[in-house]
Amino acid sequence: MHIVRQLMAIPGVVAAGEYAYRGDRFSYEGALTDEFARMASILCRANTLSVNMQSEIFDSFAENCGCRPVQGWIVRGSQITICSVGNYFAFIENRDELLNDVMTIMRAKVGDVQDDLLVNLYARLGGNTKEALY
Amino acid sequence: MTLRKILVLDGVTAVCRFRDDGVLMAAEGMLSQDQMERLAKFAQWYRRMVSSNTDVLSLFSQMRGWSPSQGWVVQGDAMTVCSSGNMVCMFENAQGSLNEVMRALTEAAHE
Amino acid sequence: MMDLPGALAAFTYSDKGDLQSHVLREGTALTPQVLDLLARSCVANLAIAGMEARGWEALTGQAGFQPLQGFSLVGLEWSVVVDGNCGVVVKNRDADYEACFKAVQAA
Repeated sequence: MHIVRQLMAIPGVVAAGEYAYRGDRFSYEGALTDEFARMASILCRANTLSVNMQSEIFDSFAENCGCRPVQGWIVRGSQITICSVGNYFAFIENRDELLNDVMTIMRAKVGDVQDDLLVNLYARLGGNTKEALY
Repeated sequence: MTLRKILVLDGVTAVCRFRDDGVLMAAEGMLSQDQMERLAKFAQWYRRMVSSNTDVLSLFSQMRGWSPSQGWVVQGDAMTVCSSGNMVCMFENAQGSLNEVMRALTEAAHE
Repeated sequence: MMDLPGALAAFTYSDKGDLQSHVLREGTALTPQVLDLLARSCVANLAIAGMEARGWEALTGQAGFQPLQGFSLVGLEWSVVVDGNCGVVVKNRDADYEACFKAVQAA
């Protein structure tokens, strides 16, 4: 079953989707508008690039220390949490056990992130990984 | 504006041109080859990070004029690293002029 | 915090990211130097996440993101979970993210 559909079947998952490198290609299901989903994909791209850069730096100080390649990140809000693995994201309510379940599913299904960040971010939505940003 | 011309500016110790995948295209200056490659990789990451954070700022502020981002500057105690487009440069604060260096980098980046 | 499942390291840091104290599990490939870098990057990540939460609520009118309760970077084999001035590194295999967030919030 497609990961987004699988996530949306879990009570407490508010929205889930996937995003591409430029942040302007995305798909989603759940309680978001097109505009919000576009915004979310821009946010996800920013955070993903950030943590990837940080893990490269950690790795240069302690090679193979277990950080690279980065799988994703989590932002814990007071009632809502956003988590991202690979080029997928989910907005979930802060219910007991939900974050752990969602992270387990996401890491199992899409956590096989490769070293090349651009390849990951284009993996399923397509696009030219050699394309310049600007 | 060649890299040589940027290297001779006051205070400049190293200057590189890098590709979008972080590969070093050209370098001039006082760093070793390995250090130049690391600088290029770092600059490429930083460029991506800054440009995506700029997009986020643009989105939330709803202001024009932020994106697309053009470069970045990190000013240390005695050294500065700065970048415009796909050019990155390191210079000593005591002698270098940020304005002059950024102008030169911007000109070189557009070539 | 070292009692959390899979815990490899626990640390505290100043508002600027200076490492103030740390505990490392024996045998881990993590070093105090990496923890110091981690602490700094986590301060940055929390700040950015805080900015994103604020901007999102302001622009969309949605609530429930602020105040921020923490951030996690999920690496290949381990994740770091931070909130406030406190962080823990856990092995992904055993990670209980919710317990980690509760622990760093309480500290």
